[in-house]
Amino acid sequence: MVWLNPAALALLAFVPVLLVLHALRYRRRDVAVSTLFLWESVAREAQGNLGLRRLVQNLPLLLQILLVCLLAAALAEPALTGKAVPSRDVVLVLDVSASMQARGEQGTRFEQAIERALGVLQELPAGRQMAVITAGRQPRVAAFFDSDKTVLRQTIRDLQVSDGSGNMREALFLALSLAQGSGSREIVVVGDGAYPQAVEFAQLRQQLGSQLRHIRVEGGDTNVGITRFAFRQVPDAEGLYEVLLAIKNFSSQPVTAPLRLDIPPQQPLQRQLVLQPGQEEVVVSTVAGPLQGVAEAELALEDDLALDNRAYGVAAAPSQTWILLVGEPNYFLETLLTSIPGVFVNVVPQVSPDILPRLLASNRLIIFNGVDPPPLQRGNFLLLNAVPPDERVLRAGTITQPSVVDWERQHPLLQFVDLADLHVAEALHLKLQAGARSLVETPETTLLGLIEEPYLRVVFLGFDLMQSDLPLRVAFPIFIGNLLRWLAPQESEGGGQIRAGIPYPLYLDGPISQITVQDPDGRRQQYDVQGNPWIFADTQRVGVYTLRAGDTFKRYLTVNLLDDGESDINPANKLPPLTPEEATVPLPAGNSETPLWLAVTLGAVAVLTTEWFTWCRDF
Amino acid sequence: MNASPPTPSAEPVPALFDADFMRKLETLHLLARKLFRGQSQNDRTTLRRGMGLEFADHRRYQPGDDFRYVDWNVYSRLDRLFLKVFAAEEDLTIHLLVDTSRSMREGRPSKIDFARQVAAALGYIGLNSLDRVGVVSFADELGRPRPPQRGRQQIVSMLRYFENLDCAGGTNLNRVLRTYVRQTRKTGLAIVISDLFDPQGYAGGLDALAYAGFDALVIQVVAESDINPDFNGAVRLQDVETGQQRRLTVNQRLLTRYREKVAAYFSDIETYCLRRNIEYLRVVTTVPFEDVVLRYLRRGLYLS
Repeated sequence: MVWLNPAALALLAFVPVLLVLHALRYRRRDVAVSTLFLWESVAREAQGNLGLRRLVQNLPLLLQILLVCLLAAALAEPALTGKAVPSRDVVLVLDVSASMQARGEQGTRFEQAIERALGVLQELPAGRQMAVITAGRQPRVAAFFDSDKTVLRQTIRDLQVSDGSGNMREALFLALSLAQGSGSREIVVVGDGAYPQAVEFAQLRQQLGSQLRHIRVEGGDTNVGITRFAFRQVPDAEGLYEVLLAIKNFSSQPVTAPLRLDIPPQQPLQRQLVLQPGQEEVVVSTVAGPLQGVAEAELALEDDLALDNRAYGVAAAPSQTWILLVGEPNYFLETLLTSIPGVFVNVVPQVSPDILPRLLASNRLIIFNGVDPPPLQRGNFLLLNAVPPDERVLRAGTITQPSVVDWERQHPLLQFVDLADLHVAEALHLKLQAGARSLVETPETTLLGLIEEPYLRVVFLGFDLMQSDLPLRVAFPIFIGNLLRWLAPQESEGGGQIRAGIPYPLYLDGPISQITVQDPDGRRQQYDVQGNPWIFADTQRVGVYTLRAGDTFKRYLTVNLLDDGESDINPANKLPPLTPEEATVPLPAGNSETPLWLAVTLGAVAVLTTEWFTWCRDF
Repeated sequence: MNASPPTPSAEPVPALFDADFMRKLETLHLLARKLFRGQSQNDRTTLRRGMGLEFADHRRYQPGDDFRYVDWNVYSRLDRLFLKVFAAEEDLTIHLLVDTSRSMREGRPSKIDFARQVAAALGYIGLNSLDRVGVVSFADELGRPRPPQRGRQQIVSMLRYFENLDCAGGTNLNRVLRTYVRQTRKTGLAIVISDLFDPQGYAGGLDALAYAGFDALVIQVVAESDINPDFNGAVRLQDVETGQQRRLTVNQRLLTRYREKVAAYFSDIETYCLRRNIEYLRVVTTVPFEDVVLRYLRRGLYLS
């Protein structure tokens, strides 16, 4: 036991004062008596309980001394030090990645992990707290620090393994932030050790020492999985598509894998693959259209991880993209746009505001070249050497030979676009107000700007392409490509195929308030649409999701694993298991200090109460 | 017989016994006469067999006996010599033994004052009744005795004797009573006035009195403080006779136990005296001494 404030023990000096006061108070009175032998007799008879009697007589003094001692002790802040049972709060990191679905003789790795996690909870000393973090694609705090084992046990039992990749690195950083570098908190990782960042994890464990404990679960070592699944239209061959499939053997033994590919309405494609250990077979097949529906690739075999034996894709012919060019024809622009598969360009000299809504319904993008557009409410527009009738963009004449001094390289429109030494003969002098954003700056004006609203995207280029060398630069097709992807992002959604756990942005052409999603298990759930794009994040399960809004809107979303790291359930650089010595590494010896001042103060109060009681009872 | 108290004009009365006291003594004397009217002095029979007037018994003749007391009638019938034995008729000798140990100074009024007054009253009545009255004080040793004397003229000197008594020393009842018995030739009524607070006991001394033929009267004088101590808390008790000290924390429980102990002690004395045919009176100094004397006189045991 240590005293955190030993100076307070000086209060013990009051004990002699108490003794003196007590001695003065009990100064004996001399009394003369005729004889003493009767008193002696009485005293002898009372001798039997003399000790108790003296104790009772001196009880107030003893209690007062004890009270002073306790008060002094309480102020001295005693703390109990001990090495008896060192314990810590626990930050439990549970691997919920797809590889945890690998099944061994003792069940899946995740089931084992749950049992081990419950074991860690069981060993948690009373009063200690535990936080639970799931290491999925995005780490999630399933339970913050709590000492209620019932709640924690239920939380752990309710955890679900995901079909997506894991990110143990981020989960560890989150755990470290919760541990806050405190030595009183231990990070316990329960997982299969098949982490993409295994080397980094090992280094981290070496740095943290005994503060990080890894409990590895095992089971299953045979797996063949589909690692890639994609469609593409064969260039310059309308109605002809190529399907790409990659199948890899992650086992240590050769495997014969029957492959079946269903692409409605085509006949199923079947192949028999013989894969050597570690071998990846890429299957490319040409399919003639039209394609409609969801394509499914399946490996008809039984291995320890069934999740990657199926892959899904949206087998639909790419939609045609019509672009309307209003104003003067532009050779460079038209040539560039028509060179993109599925893009068709119409050129009109001008449009009236009345037919603009109908044009927007049939054209993904409307380009005004040298022609000021009518008032714009919704839709995607590119304005070349034109100014939108919007108070956010004001025209203030022209500028000759403006020189670019800076541009926003990180904006999606200007990624990989090099505008250095761009020569422009003449440009509009534009003054942007609040609500309009400048992307390319010259000392005098803005060469490229944009207006962005939920259902309106207007990009305006402040000069005529023919009055610059931009069409001749490499930056031009890159810029147009960026523009098309930005203005029509649904064309670059990957064909409605994502990896499990990754949020899917759904770009909407018009206002939609609610979307109903049917997940791979057939369950339907309705979501409120808050913006455009609408982010669908519940993509934890592998399979086909159907998104519906009203009677007309319907999209397929296929979610696949397609992750070599997760399919490789027995990687070469897997984190090695802990040696028994490591597993039972003792906690660093440190003196734990349990403050006792509260207990001592309560004792002092009890003594004070007893002393008061004895005083009232005139012991 | 009429008796009148000594007057200050005839011989000065000691200051301790003032005029008020003397009036009380005279009153006691008159009350005594009234209680035992018709009984003349020297008319007391004693248990001693002697040659008085009242026939008591016969006994065999022993060589040397006075032939005048031979019962010739019996001899004529039985042809044996028997002597007639008469109860001796003699003057009563009153022995006043007053405890003057240091403990007798205790009490309010003090036990010694009370004892002096009682002893003086009894002696006064005795002298007025033409009895022989002897006085002696004692503590752990026998004091200077005043031999038994008769006559009213002895009253003043007796009172002066009482006045000059001083309390000192411890108490040794057994020794002093045995000594007194050895030194006293003529027995009689021995009135022992003491608080009887003697750790060594009283039985031996009183037994000696009884065995020597004394008619004993024990008047135990105790102070109120001896019975009901008026102190409590942490005290240092000091025996006034031995100087022995005892530290004690007195509480109500202890006081109760002490009172029980004192009562048991008194009860033992009373039982003892009853068995030995010893008259026993216990008085507290707060009671007027004349009440004590009258209570005793009403018993009519010794003055009648």
